[in-house]
Amino acid sequence: MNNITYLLLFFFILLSTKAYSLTDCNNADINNTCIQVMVKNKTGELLKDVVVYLEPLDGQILAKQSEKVIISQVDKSFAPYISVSQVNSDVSFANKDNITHHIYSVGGDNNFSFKVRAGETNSSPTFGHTAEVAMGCNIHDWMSGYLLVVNTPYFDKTDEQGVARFNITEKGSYNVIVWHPQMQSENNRIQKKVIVSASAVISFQLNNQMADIPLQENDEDFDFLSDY
Amino acid sequence: MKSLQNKIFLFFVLLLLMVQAIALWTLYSGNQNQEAAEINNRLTTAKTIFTELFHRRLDYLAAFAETAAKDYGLKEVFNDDTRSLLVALNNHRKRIDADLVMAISAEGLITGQLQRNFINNERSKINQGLERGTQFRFIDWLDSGQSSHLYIIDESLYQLSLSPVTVGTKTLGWIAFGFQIDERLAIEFMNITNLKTDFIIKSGTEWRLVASSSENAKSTEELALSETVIQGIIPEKYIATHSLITEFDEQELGVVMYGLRANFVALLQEQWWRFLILAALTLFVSLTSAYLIAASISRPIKRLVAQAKVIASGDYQQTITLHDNNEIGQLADEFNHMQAAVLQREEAITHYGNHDPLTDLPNRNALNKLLKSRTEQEKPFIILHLNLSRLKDVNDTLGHDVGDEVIKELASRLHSLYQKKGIEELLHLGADEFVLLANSIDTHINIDETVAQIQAVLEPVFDYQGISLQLQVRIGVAISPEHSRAPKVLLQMADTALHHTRDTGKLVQVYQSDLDVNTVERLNLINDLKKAIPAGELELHFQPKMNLKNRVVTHVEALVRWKHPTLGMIPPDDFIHIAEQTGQIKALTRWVFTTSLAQFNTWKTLGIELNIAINISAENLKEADFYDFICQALMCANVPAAKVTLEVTESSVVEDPKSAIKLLSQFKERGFKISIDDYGTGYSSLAQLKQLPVHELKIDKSFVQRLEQDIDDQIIVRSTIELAHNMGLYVVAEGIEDKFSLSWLTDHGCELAQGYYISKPKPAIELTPWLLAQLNIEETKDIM
Repeated sequence: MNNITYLLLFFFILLSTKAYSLTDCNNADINNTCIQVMVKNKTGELLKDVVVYLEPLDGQILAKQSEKVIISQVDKSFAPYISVSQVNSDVSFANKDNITHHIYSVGGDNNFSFKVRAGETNSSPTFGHTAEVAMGCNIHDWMSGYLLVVNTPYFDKTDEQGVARFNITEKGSYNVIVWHPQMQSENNRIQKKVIVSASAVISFQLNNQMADIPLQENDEDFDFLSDY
Repeated sequence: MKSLQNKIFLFFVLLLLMVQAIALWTLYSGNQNQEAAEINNRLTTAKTIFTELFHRRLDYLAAFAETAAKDYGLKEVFNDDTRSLLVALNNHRKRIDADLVMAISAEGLITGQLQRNFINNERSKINQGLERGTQFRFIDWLDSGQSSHLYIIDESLYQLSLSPVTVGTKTLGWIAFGFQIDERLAIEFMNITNLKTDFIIKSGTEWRLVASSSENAKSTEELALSETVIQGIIPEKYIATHSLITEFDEQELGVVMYGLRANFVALLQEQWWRFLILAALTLFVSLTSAYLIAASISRPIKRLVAQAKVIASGDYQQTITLHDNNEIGQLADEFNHMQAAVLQREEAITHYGNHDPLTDLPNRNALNKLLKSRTEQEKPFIILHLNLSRLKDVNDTLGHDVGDEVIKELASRLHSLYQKKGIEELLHLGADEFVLLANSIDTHINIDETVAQIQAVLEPVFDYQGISLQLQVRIGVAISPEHSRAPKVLLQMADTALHHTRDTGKLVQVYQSDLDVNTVERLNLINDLKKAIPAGELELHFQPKMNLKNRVVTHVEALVRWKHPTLGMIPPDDFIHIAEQTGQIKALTRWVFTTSLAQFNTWKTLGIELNIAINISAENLKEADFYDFICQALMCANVPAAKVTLEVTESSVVEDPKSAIKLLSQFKERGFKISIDDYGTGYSSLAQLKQLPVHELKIDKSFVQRLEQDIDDQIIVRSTIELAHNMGLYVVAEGIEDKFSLSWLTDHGCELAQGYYISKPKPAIELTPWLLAQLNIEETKDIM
């Protein structure tokens, strides 16, 4: 991933934090409870881009998250690598490259397959159930991406400090789940049950060493069609 | 075995055999090496091919599996219903005609499997695999990076390749393709390598035969063989190699490739046979040529050997021709040269053998041959034996070189007579002796004529380096067949005649029989005389000497007679001379002496006392111990010296008068009587006579025998008697043969007489009665 991608990512996070207050813990609202979830790897290092989400256990009614999720294809790779969306949310696949991608997912309930041309966006797949959706491109074998479909609006990925923040309005017990496709844990997740009453910091430490996050690169590096 | 031919042949045979043996051995070992290399090569190649083939199949499978795993169509149906999945699997399977295809879920469950089953050798059918729905047995394969494996389903063994089916990084499951390891592979392999192929697998502890290229092979035998080969033990009749393909999950696949050694070496063996035949053939050919070469070398040599034998036998006329231009031909040429040279030398030697080196005239050998041929042919001829006078003088004074020149001059002068006027042959016997052979039509005229011719030719003075030499020859002549038919005898006669010329001073002498002194008989006599004395062949005869005054026998002369066993009685004139010349006179005289003295004593016992006169020769006078011997003998016999008279001839004193006189004086001093024998016939001088210490003088019989007829003899005898008396000697007359002589000598005062008229010389035995009778007459006279 090059610097531009990181830069874009940062802007998006900024945008999403501005529009969405659920993860903003700076609001000193007395009704808000700020839960901070910290994820460390087995050796104690803070991990970023690990999905954290909270599932209500007491039947709390949660507002639906309204932001759209955009999964881009940039430089023949999924950006971001991991995306999270709530059930029935809109998910768009935006092709930022100048070539066609054939995006698909098989082997689950959410099988989809479509071609998206350069610069176009496809929003055809719908995700009505919670699922781990593994995605690939049929043309570019090395492309790999994940979409975690959750049934809660409270989801986020840890930031550079390895922290994900949630502004919980509905108090009660929640299941705090940490998920990453390379986590090497059962079902790729570890979880904790937490009673949300006041602001708290929850730490997770992985039991196993994380697997390498695949580099989405063509190891052949053919260049005979420079405009391909 | 010693013959050169055999040696050469054997040598060649051995050499050839050795060469052939070395060649064959080299070939053989080369062959062996080649064989081994070929086999090794073959096996290595087979092994390499197998390994390559095996891995190519795996690589192929792996590549295909990877490609198939990325197929979207497959991904779509991967988790779908079985039917779609199986169809998709088969589609892929068909593309590489795999024997096995499997789909394994992410949980390790075999969701789809298709296997090829053989109905018979040719037809097969794809059926659903036996493991469908079961858990895949080798989960660890799925997780490991290695994609190629050996996989067994029941009895079937497969080469398997796995590849993960992914969506991005998420693994949906695995897809696997396999090729079966079975008879097809084995046979395919056998067709490539021409080696029988067995596949055996070991899972656990025991090997199991998976497949074999041999049809109808007993699996236990194949398995057993394969097992031993895997262990590295290869039976002699096979060539084999093996390969082990080990799995990390402890399965071992063994591949054994083998073949009958005989098949592979068959070609080489065939080659080998060809070589052997060729070798045998070349050996045969080379042996034959060896034999021929040996023969060709030894044949001319044999001929040369034969030729050498011919030459050795003395035949120098046959030459040998060899048609070789090589060394042997050269040898033959040299042989011929040698032969010619030998012949030449032999001729030269013969020439030198038959010719005198100085004058190159035929020599004594040639003469013998000539004479032999002439006498055999019975041709009459004359031999003239010439002797060059005074050659010794010339040699001594002027040197032998001049002498040789003289001889050569004589030869050349005589040569001018050669072939002329009846002189048929001229020969040079050596030094100063030449022989002429003349024909004899009229013998005596021829001789005279020939001699005259010779004289004429020799007359001119020979002028040599300023010295004038006169050539003079003496000639002895013998005539054939008149004188003899025998060559040797003729020569002898001529020689004798020649010798006679020396004695007489004549220049020419024709042989007469009375010249013959030097006969063979004479030589024999010399030898016989040596034996005569000890053999008792000598006899002493005595001739009485009568005193003319009183007609009494007072003296006897001892005369030796030789009774030769074969020749009879040999007169002393013959053998005394010989005895003197051969040094036997000493023994003779001594014998005479001792015998005479013995006889004296014998007579003395009978009352006869006579003076015995013994002849002494000049040789005796020269003997150093003569005096001592005589005296010794005398004393031994106890005979008074006065009873012994020593008769010496005038000539015997002449040689060395001084010592003769001295010796005789000694004898006289001792008391012996000395007598001069044969007075008047030899060399004598009155001066000598005056000096000689003699008592008696004996007149030779030649003066006495014809006293009655010859007045001159009477004068001589009378004068001699008077002379003797005047010198104080008494006289003995020899050779009285008649009464006249007896009375005449008595009248003229001769003291003693000796002769046949009185008595012949007789042996003592015979004489003794006569002597006794004489004494009786005397006695009776005295009495009367």
